[in-house]
Amino acid sequence: MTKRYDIEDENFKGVIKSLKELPRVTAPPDFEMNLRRKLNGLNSARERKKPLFTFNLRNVLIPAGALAATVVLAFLFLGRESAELENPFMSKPSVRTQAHNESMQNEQKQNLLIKPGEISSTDVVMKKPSQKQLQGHSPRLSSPAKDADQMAANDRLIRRLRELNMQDGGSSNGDIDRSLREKPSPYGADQYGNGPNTVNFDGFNIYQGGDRSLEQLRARVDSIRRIMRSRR
Amino acid sequence: MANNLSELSDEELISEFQANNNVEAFELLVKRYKDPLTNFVYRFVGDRDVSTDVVQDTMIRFYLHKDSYKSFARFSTWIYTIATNLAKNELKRRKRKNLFSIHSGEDDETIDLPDKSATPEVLADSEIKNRIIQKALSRVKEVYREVVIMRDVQDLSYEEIAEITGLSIGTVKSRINRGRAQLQKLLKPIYKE
Repeated sequence: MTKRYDIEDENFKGVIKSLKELPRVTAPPDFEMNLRRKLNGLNSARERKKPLFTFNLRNVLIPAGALAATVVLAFLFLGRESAELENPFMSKPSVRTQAHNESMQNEQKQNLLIKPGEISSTDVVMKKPSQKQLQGHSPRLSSPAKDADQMAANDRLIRRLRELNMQDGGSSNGDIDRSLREKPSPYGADQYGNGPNTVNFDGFNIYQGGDRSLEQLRARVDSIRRIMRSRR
Repeated sequence: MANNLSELSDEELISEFQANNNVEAFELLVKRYKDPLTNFVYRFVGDRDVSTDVVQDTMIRFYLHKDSYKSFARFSTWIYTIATNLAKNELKRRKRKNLFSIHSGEDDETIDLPDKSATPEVLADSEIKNRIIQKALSRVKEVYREVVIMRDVQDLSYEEIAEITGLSIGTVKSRINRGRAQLQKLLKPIYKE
């Protein structure tokens, strides 16, 4: 058969002889028949799988179509969202300007606030907005009820101004500018502040006196108007 | 055609089966190897029905994976390798199934005689002797048993055994001698005389 290594140990002669003398076990007579049956079973199982595959193909197409539709819808929704989202690489300078304007507006609002002690309890009291309110997107700083209160306070302030005007003569009929023009200054200055004590430097007139309370009130009215304008 | 095929060697037959899917070539190889493989697997696992199933599985694997055979190897070593691996798997499966193995692992243990009347004269009876040898063989360590059966029962060469097991010839010889030594210890009662 093939090359042998005939070096069997003499010590194991008996064992080797016993093993070689063991009867040869053969396959059962139905071995080939059973094998053929098993192989036929395997082949028929393979053939049965083929039509099943084509049948299943249709069943696979439906979920595949549904999946594709889902992907398309998801793509569309995500696309819209991404269009709405700000791309940091495509951001326009206007965004920064807008933010700057907003911060400027907030700063103005803070500057326009009337400090406590400057006005009486009947005057307009603008509550200082909180940091949260200033950072918010809504320009509204307070609730509608508070707005109404402030409006009423403003009305009271205007009425008081009118009363003051009336005390001054009542000829201005609520027009502060007119009142100022008509009212003579106690220091002899005209409506532009030029008076006997005015020192002129090359055309610049420095106002040195006048009715302080009226000026203050006028400044407050202006500030209120500005606030009202900004809130609109 | 059939006569022509029967004259072909194992390697030529499997080439014919691979190239032309000739089932007759496959059947011829089954006829040639069913008995040697059954004998080998039976001596290895010690169960007739199990050995038949293992050999049938071997043939099915051969049929399904015929293309995995490469022409540079001998067909006998290829088919023996499949059968050996399947037989080992079967033994592992049986060991898992049974709580205790038929192989105790105690090499010095000797085979108990069937009964007190089993004197050497009685043991001369070949059937009982064969049964005892088979029992002893099943107690030899698996790695030794495999090569001892291949060498002393199947009459395979050391080269073939080395090719089947993937071991060096030196390791094969060593394992064969160790297996024989174990078997001799186990069969002391038989060789007392």
